[in-house]
Amino acid sequence: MAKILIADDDVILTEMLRFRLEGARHEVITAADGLEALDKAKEGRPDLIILDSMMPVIAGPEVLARLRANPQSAATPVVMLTARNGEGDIVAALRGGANEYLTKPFIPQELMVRIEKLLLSSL
Amino acid sequence: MTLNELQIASANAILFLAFGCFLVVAARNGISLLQLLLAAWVFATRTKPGRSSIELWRRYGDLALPVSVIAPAFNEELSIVESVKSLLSLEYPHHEVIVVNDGSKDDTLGALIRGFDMEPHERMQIAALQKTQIRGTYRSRRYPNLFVVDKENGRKADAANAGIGFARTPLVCVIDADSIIETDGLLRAAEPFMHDDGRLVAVGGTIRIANGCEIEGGALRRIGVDTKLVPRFQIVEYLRAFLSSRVANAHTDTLLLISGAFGMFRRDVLIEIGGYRHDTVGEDLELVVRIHRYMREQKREYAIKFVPDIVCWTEAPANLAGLKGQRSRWQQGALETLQRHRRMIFNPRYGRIGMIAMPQLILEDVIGPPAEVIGYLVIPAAIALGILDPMMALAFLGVTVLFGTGLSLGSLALEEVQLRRTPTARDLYRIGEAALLENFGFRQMNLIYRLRGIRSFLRSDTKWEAVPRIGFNQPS
Amino acid sequence: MSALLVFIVSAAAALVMVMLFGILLLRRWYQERCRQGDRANLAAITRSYMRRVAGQIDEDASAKWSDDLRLAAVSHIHLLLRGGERHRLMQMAELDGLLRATLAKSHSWRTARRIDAIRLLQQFGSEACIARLREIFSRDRSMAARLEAAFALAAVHALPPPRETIRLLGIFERKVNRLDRALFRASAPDYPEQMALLLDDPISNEHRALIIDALGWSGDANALPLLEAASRSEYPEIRSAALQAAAQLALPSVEPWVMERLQDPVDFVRLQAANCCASLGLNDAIPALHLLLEDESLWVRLRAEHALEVLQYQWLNLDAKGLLA
Repeated sequence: MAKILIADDDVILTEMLRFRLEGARHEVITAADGLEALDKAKEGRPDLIILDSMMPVIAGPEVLARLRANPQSAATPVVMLTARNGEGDIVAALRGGANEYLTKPFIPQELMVRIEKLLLSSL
Repeated sequence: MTLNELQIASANAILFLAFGCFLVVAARNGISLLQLLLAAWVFATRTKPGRSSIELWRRYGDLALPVSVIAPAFNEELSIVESVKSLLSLEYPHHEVIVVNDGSKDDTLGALIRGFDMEPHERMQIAALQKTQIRGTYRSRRYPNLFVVDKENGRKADAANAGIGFARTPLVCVIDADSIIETDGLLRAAEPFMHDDGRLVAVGGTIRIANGCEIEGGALRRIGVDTKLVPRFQIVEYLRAFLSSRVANAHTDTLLLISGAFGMFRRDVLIEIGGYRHDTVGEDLELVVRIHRYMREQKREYAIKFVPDIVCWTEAPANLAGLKGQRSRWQQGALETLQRHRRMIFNPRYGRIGMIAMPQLILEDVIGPPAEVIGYLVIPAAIALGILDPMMALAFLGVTVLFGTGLSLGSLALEEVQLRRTPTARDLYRIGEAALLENFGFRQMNLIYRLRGIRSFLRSDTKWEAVPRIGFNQPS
Repeated sequence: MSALLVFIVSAAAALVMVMLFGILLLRRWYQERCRQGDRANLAAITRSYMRRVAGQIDEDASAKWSDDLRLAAVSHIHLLLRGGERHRLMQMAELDGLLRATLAKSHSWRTARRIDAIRLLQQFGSEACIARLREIFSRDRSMAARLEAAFALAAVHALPPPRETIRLLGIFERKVNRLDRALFRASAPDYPEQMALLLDDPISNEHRALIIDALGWSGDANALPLLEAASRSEYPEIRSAALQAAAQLALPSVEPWVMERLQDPVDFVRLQAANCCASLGLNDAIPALHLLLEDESLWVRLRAEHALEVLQYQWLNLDAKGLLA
């Protein structure tokens, strides 16, 4: 069981991920924009963060950079969701310190598999 | 007696002038109103593009005509890598990006070479449309669909021509290097070619102003409306121009302008007509007029279309100084094009382009600005002479302002109902506010800039005549 | 006097304009305010459907959500589900009466709304939807709606046999466009024999080429003899279509006649042949492609050069395929 933060402004996707993650006995907290994501990450101390690259207020890559700059969240595994399959976005995500990335549209099952793997390896 | 006669004659002349100006202003407003109504009709009956067409493109990618995106770049060292990355990641089955380094003074070429791992690569140019020397061509070791042309400095038209000459795809999309293309902009603009049976030669799309938007890595992150008034006035102008005039013109097959910031063309037609002209400041207008002329003289069936969807965002001049240059250039360009293609005007051989589109351009760009200026001068004079009731003049002014604002608000309503790309109600209000305020000051400033354009046209006209005599003719 | 009249009229017009603009602003403001509530509702709807799809207890099932909101949620959720889950979701949506709402929308007088409905009907994909799609396809007054319905039917493999499609869309009475080609390709896997039969009809070369091209997407090896015959047709368009189809079918037995086309008298057929050799990875074609590097047509030379590159570096294949078309 782990605590997972989902930061995405797409409610339906967020809710669907929450349903699946809770089904797998994880605790889920959510944020709808970049600023909220940073706050929740600080307060909630999640074990893993799912981060959308295109978010209002503060975009995903910037959120990631700030998470990494903070010692408290520097080692938290991050899965980045990129909207385009542009190589630029993916490279930026990985270079920024994301542990995994997925290109939208993706199948939630695939994300679940990657999350479980990350959680196992970060234990 | 004679003095009296003179007085009556001058009063008559002034009244006559005032009446003439009134007619011109009324005609322009009438045309704009018709265009707005027509555009509203087009929008009401159009089917919005949906996901299904994108699925179709994905499944049968080879049916989408490959596109070369041609991006002329001059002194863009700092931003070029980001811009090109976002061009490479545009959504389209097959597109190539051709960057033309137009003899930049900074290290634009070096930035490209380092950023994309470029190596010199000989590639045959299919048509040499440029007037300057090509210094080298490069391909990327990492991106098979990136190609860079390095050439001596020329004008944008020259750089675009060089790129067009290297393109090998059926379609070319000419953009400005700092244009921010919508992720699905190429798809949207190429979609009319899906329904086409071979006649379509060019497609334009709606362009919006990026000032006040958040831009990151050459892509639009967040749409915004600038707090400053000058960009906001231009937002209003762009809404009017794209959502009402061009939609209406395209619907009646009288579209004369596809903006240089984004235009999709059939490559073979561009090559046939020799690409952009180098000797005009309004090369984008001139190109489309020349396509019309060429196709009609050849008696070929053709079509030029416009998609109302937003295809690209562009940085507009943020202050009056920048605006001054841009507007005088536009004005000068329009006059140059009209002069060069004057035989099309009212010539039935050129169909509705000669009979409707060109006269409309004359009304807008030749008669319009001076008439407005004369109006501003003559009406106070008439009031001073006591031949015009001041109340009447005020009423006339009120009607003009009302009409202008109404047209702008109408276009804004079209955007709100159909495209929905204004972020919040507050931004919507601020655009509406600009639509009213622009009548007091901005329009008049614009008019002055256009007069400057007319002046440079008259001057440069004589300069051109002088060119051959000095023997300063370009290397060809 | 008349000035006064003008003032009154323009004041009235200004008032109307301000009011209309005010309405526009209010509308936007109201929608913005609703959006917060909508977000919460969308989340609740998603939760509710996910529970029901998974067969869990759902206490919200009877909640009063508007059909529009439910539809918005369902059409998004369904993109995120696969297989059995997706199927069950669409069942739930039907049980909730969303199908009825969509069917009603498909009768709207506005073409744009009908087209929206067609897209939703395609997602539902049940018998009733397909029946309605067929009706639109055969009878709608707007060609755009009929075409949209045709693609929706093709996506759920429910397009009528090709002859009916051709008649209903009047394809043989006009010039072929790219959408027709897409539609034919989409229906080829369902009707390979019927497609082949069409070739016996007295039809124009353009339409014959359309059918040959589509046969490439049928995935049916029985089409091979037809393609081979087409590759020797006296009309270059048909020969070229046969090569495109061969590249798509990707069966090894086409090699001899594809390579034969590298010597075709017409340039765009040679070009297509070079294309085809590259996509099929025919290494035996390398010597013949080298000869094409000296071809009289620039486009053939470029294409041959590219085909050689592709054959030599197979990895390039993915990215650069078709760029030169």
